[in-house]
Amino acid sequence: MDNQPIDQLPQESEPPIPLMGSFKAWYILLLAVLLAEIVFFIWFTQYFS
Amino acid sequence: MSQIDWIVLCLTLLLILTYGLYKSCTSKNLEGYFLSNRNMPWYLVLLSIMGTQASAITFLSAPGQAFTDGMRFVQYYFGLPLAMIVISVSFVPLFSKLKVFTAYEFLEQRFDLKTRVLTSTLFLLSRGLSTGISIYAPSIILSSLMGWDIFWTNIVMGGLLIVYTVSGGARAVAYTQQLQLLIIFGGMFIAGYYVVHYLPDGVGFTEALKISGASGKLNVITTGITEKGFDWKDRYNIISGIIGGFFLSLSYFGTDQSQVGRYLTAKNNTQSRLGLLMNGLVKVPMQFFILLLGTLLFSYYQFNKAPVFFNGAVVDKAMQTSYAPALSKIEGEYNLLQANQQQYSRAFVASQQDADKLLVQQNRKSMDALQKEYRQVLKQAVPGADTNDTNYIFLRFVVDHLPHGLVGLLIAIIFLAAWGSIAAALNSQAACTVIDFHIRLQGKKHDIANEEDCLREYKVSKYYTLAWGIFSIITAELATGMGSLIEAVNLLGSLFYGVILGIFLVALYAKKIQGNAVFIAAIVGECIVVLCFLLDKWGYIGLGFLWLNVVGALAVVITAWIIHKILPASEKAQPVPVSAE
Repeated sequence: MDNQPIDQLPQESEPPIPLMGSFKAWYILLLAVLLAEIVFFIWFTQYFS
Repeated sequence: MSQIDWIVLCLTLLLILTYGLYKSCTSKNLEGYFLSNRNMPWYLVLLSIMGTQASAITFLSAPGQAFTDGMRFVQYYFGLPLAMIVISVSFVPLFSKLKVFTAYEFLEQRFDLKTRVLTSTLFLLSRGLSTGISIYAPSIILSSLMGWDIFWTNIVMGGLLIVYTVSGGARAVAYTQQLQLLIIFGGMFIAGYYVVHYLPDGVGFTEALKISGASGKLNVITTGITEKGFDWKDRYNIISGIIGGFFLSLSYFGTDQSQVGRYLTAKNNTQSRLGLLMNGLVKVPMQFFILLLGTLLFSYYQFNKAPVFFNGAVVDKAMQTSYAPALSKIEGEYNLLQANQQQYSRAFVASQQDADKLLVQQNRKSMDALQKEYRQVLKQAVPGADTNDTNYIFLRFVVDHLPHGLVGLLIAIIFLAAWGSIAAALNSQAACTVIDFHIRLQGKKHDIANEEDCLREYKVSKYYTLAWGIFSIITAELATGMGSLIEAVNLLGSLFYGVILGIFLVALYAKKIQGNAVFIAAIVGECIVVLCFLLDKWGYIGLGFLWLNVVGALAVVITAWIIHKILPASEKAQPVPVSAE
């Protein structure tokens, strides 16, 4: 591996982000789903206990 | 096992073996062998990531874990989606830009050779040992069910998967994992269907959940907070799950070559990130359903006769000793309570009244107490025997109750799950040994234009894969008596993961800190983690193993920062700029 500074390496051209359009949208989706799962699990625990 | 089961088992294993060999055709160089020429689409990356993480231990222990301890284990995965986001933002673009073979190559560019070698060594040590446990896990099934010798079972188990892993490298690993996961999910779904199908008339899916819930098995969310405050020793709760699970996942997916090697096979940065993010979406629900299977199994045994102890081989041994009368007496009492439990459970399902629920709960407590007593007698009768039967619960049900053919399929699934994770581990261990040690320490540069060199390195890689396979089998032979395997593997990882993560966090986010500081900090951090683990074991402190990841990572970051401040300016090398974007 060359000892070239890492931020001087050529950047790959990014292909379009599938399904959601941008990675930011993906991150929001992941957080929203996790939150929804936790809420569902709290309900699930209380309902069946 | 019937003849049909044997046929199904052998055909399924043969199918994977043949498919693995069929997909072995790859270019004969390091890029082809370790990274499948970086040409995988995101969905194959996703399946490969999932197949690597979900070992036989996942499918063996998780239903048993839910059966004994309830569903709270799912909280362990709450930090995973958060870690996927951080890795997608910080780690993947950097690895992709640098075109590295191993995650540890980056550390040499950022720090120095010794930091790269130390981190790679820590990885090889922890992954080498845990791969051995992953071979041992399916072997105990065979040895217990067939009465085979565990020594030879480990050898046969490890030997079969080595064939296609050595032959086809990362490409064979990824394609077999795809087929393995399809068979695994299909088989687990069928097993779940049969558990519900075997419930008595009038007891459906919802009623089964209510019975489990009444016995505290549907405790998906727990806080870990007691009258005395937060219980640091409590292994699975929402706080340790989010914080500890985040650090563990960040370390496992961001710095463990067995996972990094999977998403480095992707066509580009976008495909790698997408595979990881999809994993963040599906992992929690997947684990929830596997644990749910365990609670349904628990409900099934509230209406049907269950063994006091699920590992029949240990019971058979104990019955040959002078403790047999004591064990039979407890079994008799347990059977009486079990008959009562069936009656109380039916009454509760019919009435849904709190009074009936209380009877179910109280009777269950008496049954649990008897099971505990039974285990203590077993321990005296067969010293050294593993009296934790968590790993046997699901399989005992499979063997005792599922129709012919399905038993063979379910046992095959355990093999396939094991093979998926072990194959990826062997491939990544060989990659680290070849790239970080063999080639690097020879001082040679990897030249893809030199065909002769490429072919030699390709052959060496195969030998190292074989050598790691043999090492793992030897480790498996020594793994007997480690209790609940899923926890043993996670515990082992937690001893090293935090420190490795700490090194990477400094590399990525503390750009002024250099090699000497982080190297000393890593050694100090590992000592702190081991000390915490020992203090917890000896009872001086109470600390669940998930917290070891947090301790390790923070210890390295803080110590590196302090050393950086103390070191004279002359010893600080010129900072190397690092940017993922």
